Amino acid sequence: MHLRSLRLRLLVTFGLGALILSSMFASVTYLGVRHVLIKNQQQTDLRQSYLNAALIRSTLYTSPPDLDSLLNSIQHATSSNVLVQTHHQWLSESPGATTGDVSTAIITSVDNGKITEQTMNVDHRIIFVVGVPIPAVETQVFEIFQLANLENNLRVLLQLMGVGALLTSLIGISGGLWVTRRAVRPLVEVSQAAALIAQGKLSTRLVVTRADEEVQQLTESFNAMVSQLVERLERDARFASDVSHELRSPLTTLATTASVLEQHRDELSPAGQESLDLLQADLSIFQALVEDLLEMARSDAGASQLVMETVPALELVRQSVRSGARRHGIQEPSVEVAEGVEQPWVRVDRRRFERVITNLIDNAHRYADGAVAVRITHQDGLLAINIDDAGEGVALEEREQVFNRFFRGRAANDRGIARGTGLGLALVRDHVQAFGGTISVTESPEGGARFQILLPLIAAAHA
Amino acid sequence: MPRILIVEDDDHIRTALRLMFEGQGFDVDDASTGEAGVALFDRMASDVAIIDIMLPGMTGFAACQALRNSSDVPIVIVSARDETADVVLGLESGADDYVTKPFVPEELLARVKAHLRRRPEKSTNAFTLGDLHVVPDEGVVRHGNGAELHLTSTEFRLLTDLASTNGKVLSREDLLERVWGYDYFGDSRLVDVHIRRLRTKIEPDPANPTYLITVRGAGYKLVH
Amino acid sequence: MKRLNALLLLMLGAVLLAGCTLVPTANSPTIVTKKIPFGLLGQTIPGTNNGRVRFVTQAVYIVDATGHLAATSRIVPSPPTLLSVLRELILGPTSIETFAGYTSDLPKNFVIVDAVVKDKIGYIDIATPLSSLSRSRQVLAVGQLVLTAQAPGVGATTGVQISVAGVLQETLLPDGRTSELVTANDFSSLLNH
Repeated sequence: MHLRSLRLRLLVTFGLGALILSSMFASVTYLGVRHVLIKNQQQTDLRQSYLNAALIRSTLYTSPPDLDSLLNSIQHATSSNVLVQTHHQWLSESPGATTGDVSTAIITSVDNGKITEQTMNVDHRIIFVVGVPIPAVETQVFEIFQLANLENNLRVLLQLMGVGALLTSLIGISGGLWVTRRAVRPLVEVSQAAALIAQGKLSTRLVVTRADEEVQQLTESFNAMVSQLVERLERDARFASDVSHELRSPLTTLATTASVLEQHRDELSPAGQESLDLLQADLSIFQALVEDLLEMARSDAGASQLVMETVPALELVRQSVRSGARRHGIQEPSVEVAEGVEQPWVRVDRRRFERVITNLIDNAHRYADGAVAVRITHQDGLLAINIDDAGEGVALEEREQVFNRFFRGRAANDRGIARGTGLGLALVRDHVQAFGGTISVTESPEGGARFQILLPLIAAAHA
Repeated sequence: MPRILIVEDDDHIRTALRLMFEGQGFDVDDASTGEAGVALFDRMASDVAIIDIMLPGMTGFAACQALRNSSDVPIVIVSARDETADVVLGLESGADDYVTKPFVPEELLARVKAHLRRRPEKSTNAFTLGDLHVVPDEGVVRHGNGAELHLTSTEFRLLTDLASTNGKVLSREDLLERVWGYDYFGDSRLVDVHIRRLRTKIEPDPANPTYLITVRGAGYKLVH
Repeated sequence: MKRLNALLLLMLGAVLLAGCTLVPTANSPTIVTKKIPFGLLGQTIPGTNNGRVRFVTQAVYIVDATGHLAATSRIVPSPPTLLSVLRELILGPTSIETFAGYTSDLPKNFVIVDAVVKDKIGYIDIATPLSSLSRSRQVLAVGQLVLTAQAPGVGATTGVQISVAGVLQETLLPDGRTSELVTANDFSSLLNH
């Protein structure tokens, strides 16, 4: 039995524990009481036997014929049967006595001169037989006691004990329920807080209440851990930012001096010129990388940097496409607006949005001979901006990973063209998500890749 | 030969810039502190200035303000940071443009050249805005009493461009292209800050503009 | 898991044990060793002058299935008195004897007023006369009395005299005679040889 739920395990343990404990207690109590009651009864019966034996002795001594009536009156008084034996023959019995109730074993023992007692079960009746030898009158007296009364009392006791055990178990279970809830609640709270933090709500902390010491410890440790993690994250973000920052000045020098060299290209030897080409090529990658890193660090630091405006989407897309294409010196893809798309408004950070479009167009240029078109439609109540190309598309298994930082897919490895910084698509995803939208890649109508941005529409009235 | 002032404390960058602009036919004066830069500017009467924000002693902002107080020449600030606050502050201090390090040297070059080239749109007729009389041909704005209102060439160009459309709305991107001459990825904050500066100069109540109107989501227009 | 099993077994065992209301059936007899009061195990009765009672087996005569006198035994306190022996006689056959066909010809309401042995003669005084019985029965009844009275141990070696309410009777003998003093020999013909 491997229960996965702590709650259930606790509950079962409590319930079972209560049941076992109360049953054991009830049993022990019952057995103890029974033992004592029986012993006491036997003592009493024994004393009665002695008394009767003495009476029989004196009757046999003084007036033997009165034996019968003596036995009779004994039976009337105490409802126990008495049998008297001498010379292995029954001398007298009280009415209703059964000689069969006296076993040969007890007779033998009494014949040996020992007072003997025996408990027997005859026809579901429990009887207690006491045999007393009276040597002075050469007889053996056997008294048979019914323990029916005692049996009844014990049965009642057993029933009571059973009920008690059951009640205790029920109380145990409810106790278990209460304890379980109390014990498990902190765990649930911790897991909830952890989930929130994983989602990115880094300010989540557990509330410190005057709870149990262990829970309080857990809370404090958890909060401390989260704070440390957050600090580490911020430090890392700051580090990336700081590093990129520090790179600015040397990069500026490099770029500027490369530019100067370019101006003096004619004065260089062919080897020098080729070297200059390589220098400039990698320098631009380097610069782009540093810029992307900085952007990334800014993005990581939080959305507080965003300047959100409600803008008409179509104009913004057109301008972004135009400036993006011109910036990279590539051909502008056409912007096609589907029928029924009228004056859509979206809420974005302009600069970042332009960056998104630029990156996607640049991506299409690098890996797919340029974007064929930018198509705007409505989809599921959202605004869809599709950047379609006619390249080889993105393999199915890479469609999630392609937005990861520094991911090199098959396409990138296949082509020998200038590599990107590796952060372009990651930045696109970060920005789009900051706008409250989503980005995915599927197939374009031309058979290449379609990068689709879905943004929530703002009703014109709110614009 | 246009004269350019470069105020930059990083030796390597300063030297590289000097080399680049000299190679492009500029007369270059350079300084490594704000104070030296301001003094040099006064003495040499530069046509355009490039100032780094991060300077020891007198800040780049202060240097920019000092220059702007005495001249209308184009000023481009160079910043290591792209924070909106810094950009705005720089532009408010009187700069016409800003670039962030690391910049593409060719871009900086192009921008400087564009700023030098800029002349007001001569085809526009003179017009009035309340008390102010705008004369594009002469490149001046006068109060009713004849006193001249100082606008930088950028601000002047912005004003006349908006006027030339006869009340039509111009988007930020349009303005960037027409006024700054950018046919590439520009920063609309340039436009926003300059509009704000213009408003403080020409509007009776800059907080509630009557001439330079913002059209939400579209751009700006001039009503006269 | 093992622990749980052990616990469950323990519980089960406890419950089962409690299930039986009393100690299991048919346990062997146990000897009581504590102090016995009243001096029950003493050879004499306390408070008496070495008083004790002994029992002897004494012959009494009843009638067998063939209509003859037959001897059986009864236990009577020792030393046997005529009265105690005769008392046992009039109690009649035991259930086992009755089952085997034995009877007693003494009437149901037979009462012995008194019975003593004096000078080796047994004097039996009865309440009602036996003459109401048929002759054969009467003879058997008397035979029972006489043989029983004259059995060894009682001491009525000479003979027996029967009286009714104190009045001495002429007792009828099997051969038809009557006599005041009768002996066991007189009734020997009634025995089953």
